[in-house]
Amino acid sequence: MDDDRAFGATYALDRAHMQQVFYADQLNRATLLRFQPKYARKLRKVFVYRNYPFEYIAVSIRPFLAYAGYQADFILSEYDDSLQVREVADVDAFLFAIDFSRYQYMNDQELADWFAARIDALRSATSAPILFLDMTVFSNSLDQAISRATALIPDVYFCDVHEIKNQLDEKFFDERGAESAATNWSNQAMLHVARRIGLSWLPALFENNVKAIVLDLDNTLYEGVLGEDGLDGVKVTSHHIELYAMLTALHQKGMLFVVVSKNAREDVEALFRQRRELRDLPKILSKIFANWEPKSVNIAHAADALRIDVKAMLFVDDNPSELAEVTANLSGVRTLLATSPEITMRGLAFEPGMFRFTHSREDTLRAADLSLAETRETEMNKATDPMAYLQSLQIELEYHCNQHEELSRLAELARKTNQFNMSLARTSESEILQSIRDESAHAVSISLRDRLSDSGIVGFVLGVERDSVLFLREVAISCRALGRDLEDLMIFGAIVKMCGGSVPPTIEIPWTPGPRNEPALRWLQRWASNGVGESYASIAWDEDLLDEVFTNTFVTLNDLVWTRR
Amino acid sequence: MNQVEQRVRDLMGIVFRRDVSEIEHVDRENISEWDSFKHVELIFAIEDEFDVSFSQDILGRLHNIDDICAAIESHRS
Repeated sequence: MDDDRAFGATYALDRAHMQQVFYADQLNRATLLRFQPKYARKLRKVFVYRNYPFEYIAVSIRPFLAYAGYQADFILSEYDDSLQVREVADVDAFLFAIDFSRYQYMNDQELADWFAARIDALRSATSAPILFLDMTVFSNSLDQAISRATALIPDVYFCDVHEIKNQLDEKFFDERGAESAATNWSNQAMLHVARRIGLSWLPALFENNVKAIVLDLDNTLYEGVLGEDGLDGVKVTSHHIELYAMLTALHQKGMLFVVVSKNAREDVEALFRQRRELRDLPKILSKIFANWEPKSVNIAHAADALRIDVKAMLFVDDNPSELAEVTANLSGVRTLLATSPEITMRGLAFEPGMFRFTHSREDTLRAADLSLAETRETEMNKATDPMAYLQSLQIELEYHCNQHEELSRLAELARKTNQFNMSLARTSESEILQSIRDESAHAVSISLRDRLSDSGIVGFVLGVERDSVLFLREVAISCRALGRDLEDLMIFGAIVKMCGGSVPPTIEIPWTPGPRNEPALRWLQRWASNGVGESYASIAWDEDLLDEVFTNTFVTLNDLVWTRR
Repeated sequence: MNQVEQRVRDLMGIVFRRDVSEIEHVDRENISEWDSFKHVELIFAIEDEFDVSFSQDILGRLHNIDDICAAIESHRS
């Protein structure tokens, strides 16, 4: 096994070995402190504004971040009730750890407004994401007032310590430390909050989410081995039923599921047909791979079918050898060792990449949209006239410009799109807002629907005009929207949306070659006036040519008016 | 050195990020890294390691390895 393959397997097995420790109800500091992983970790820098002794939490976070594959340098500000914020270079995230009980002269709304102003001041100086934690008050009304006051500031996230406090109840506090340690948080409180920060909240900022879960069957979704115990011999316990409910809830929020099992396909189909407890599971499955191929091969096929990167997949299996085989052959796949349904559920709750601060509408549309993509493809392949078939789909595109409530989704597209992404700039939500405010940029969203499904927002174009040139800093189209020849309408429609009747004569598009953005390059090569350079391409705005694009189409363009000059 | 002391020294090494195995008398006064924050971290780790919980009174007296080991042995017996 070569070094890269061994590294992947080492990471998976080291973590599998420690799962019970990291996902336990009762966390053990001594065991956590002894976790010294052999795998390399990604370094991150977090600046903490505080008026509370965050040191206890910072040291407690270390093992959890290590488990998530990170090593963080926490830089703590001085204790400062006035929260003077300043620009700090090269920081990956900011965190406010605040003792709100110290602001006795303000009511909840006044405190929320003041605090939001502090965060806004920091936002003006940085585009890094900002987290905030209430360390002492734990009041729903204050939490909600602050969340409302900060709602319009991009990339600001409330970390709900209240939830942990409710879970631990009186065990959250330990008055022994109140005087000497200046904190009344118990050991368990510190560790539980540290776990959330290290496994959920910080990874949610640092990495892309898990989009699909790959499930083994034998001894993972039931007890027993189908091929040996038979249809009636495998056992579904009450914990497995709880697990199925959790999977269904995740599916409703947009998670995709695939089964990859070393069993005969007809046995698996019979299992889902005949075992009542399992009958609803196929409804949440996008694909079933039941054969004797290595699981890494099937997972790679699943990634292609789902149109996602393997790095956005979490593989759940009871067999450590399978985890090792998959991680050795598919770099970046996340893994969870399914030693029991209880551990699987805890893993799904805590596994880095599973937590999201927000869920977009597109998340919930994804699974349905994907299955209908297959329907479209099958119907198109069968159609004697593919163009007539596309026309029959009654495709609609809709364009919006600078809609604040869409910025989060646009940033998600910039961050996650790989195939049709021109600049790979990965512009964040706060950077988009800053461009709109400071440079009069235009952020255009493109939504797509047809008679089969609503795909939601699938395209993003960010443009800034300077000296009669329109620079398109971001052009990103979701892979779910590719394959229907809509790219011209999407991109040129976005340009018309942002410029109205006065499109500059020259469009410049920054270009960065990536490992997967060949579709974007092909589009640029078709339209670039003088070929695609090393770092950009220019397109001459040609009204005659574009008149043909806009008028000679069967696609309905909503919220867009095209008129020649 | 008995097993309790070995395990306490091991935890001290992790918390203070230095090897204390060769230091005969490990005390808050002669270990510069042993500040109030490290003290809380150490005590919590020891309580988890040995499944004990020290009262407020006892906590106030745990400033060296001998006192810590004695408190652990006392709890266990």
